[in-house]
Amino acid sequence: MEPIDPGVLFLRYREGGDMSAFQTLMDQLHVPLYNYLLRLLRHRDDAEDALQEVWLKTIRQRDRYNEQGQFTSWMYRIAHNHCLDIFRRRGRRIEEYEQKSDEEGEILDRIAASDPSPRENLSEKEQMAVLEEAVAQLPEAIREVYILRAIHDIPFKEIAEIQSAPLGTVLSRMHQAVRFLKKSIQITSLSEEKSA
Amino acid sequence: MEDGHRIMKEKHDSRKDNITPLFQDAVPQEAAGEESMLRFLDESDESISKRAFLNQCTLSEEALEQWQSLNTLIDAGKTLPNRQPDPAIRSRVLDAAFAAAQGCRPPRVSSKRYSTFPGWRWAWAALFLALLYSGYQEFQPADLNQSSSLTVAKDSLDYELLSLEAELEQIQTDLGLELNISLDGSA
Repeated sequence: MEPIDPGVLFLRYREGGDMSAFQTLMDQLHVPLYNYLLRLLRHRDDAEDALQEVWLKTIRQRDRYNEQGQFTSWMYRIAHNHCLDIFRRRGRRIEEYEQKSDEEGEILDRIAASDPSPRENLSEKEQMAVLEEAVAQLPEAIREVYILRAIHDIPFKEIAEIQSAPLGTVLSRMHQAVRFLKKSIQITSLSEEKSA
Repeated sequence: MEDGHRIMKEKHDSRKDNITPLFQDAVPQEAAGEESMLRFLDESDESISKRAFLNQCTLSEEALEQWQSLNTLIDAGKTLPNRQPDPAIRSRVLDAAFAAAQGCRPPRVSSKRYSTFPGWRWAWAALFLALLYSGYQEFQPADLNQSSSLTVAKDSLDYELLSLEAELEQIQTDLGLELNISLDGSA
């Protein structure tokens, strides 16, 4: 059965107080949202606090949701802003989050271009661990683009809205992520295993 | 007039030479740079431009490899394991959603971080309070406890006078004994 669009479920809850619709919405988004927060914040307690807070903000700000937009993107935007607040509380300025990420991205690009030795002869499970580790090493803004596009299947245009950044910047960040990650895991062996 | 027509025709021909149809791109991998390749990830397989791009890729082994590795990397991201959050969060959120739907003020929910307050945090809090209290004791204004401090001072003075009297008596007794001894000796 095709899953019901999260936006429709949210409207059912907002307009008619349909709690079963809200529960279905949570079934769809609760775990992915937690994993997005966990990968971005890299701290379990922070991610769990943020998860709860993002849901509560979604409930509190329910009237602000525009029916024309994608509900998932709207919610991830709330989550993104909440993460920026956390970075701010951790003593980081927001400009640092973006600038440092882009600068580090350039460094990653250079590392990726110079590193000639991808890890070989790893099992698929080990490769997943290597990929997870490599994703964690990416600077926040770049990591967020990869997480949203690859793991959560959100189109670049919507990621640009979530990050409040131009589409070109988002594509450039994804490009940096891809270049670095390609070197971190042996893509060819993965693709061979998949086709086999 | 004929010259003008000839010049226009030459201009048109030169422009025509510069236009390269998509399917006849001499170096497809250059046109499909990695960054522009990313845009096609969002397009549906039925899209004309994506089909044109994929056709282009078939002409270049390098471009095809790039496209496949990009897709593999995206697919690999989807297979990363998902971790489960604390189930209590879900029930707290549902309570808040229910309260909001009923038009009530959502119940105040505690954050996970402070629901399990670690012992060392209590220890720091207790230490802080102790320091605060000792600081207050140290620097409190003297006039607040003036009468009690005077009483204490008087008591200690009395005690000192008594002990001095006792010492004096002791000395007198000692001297008296010595005198008695000398008297006995003389006697």
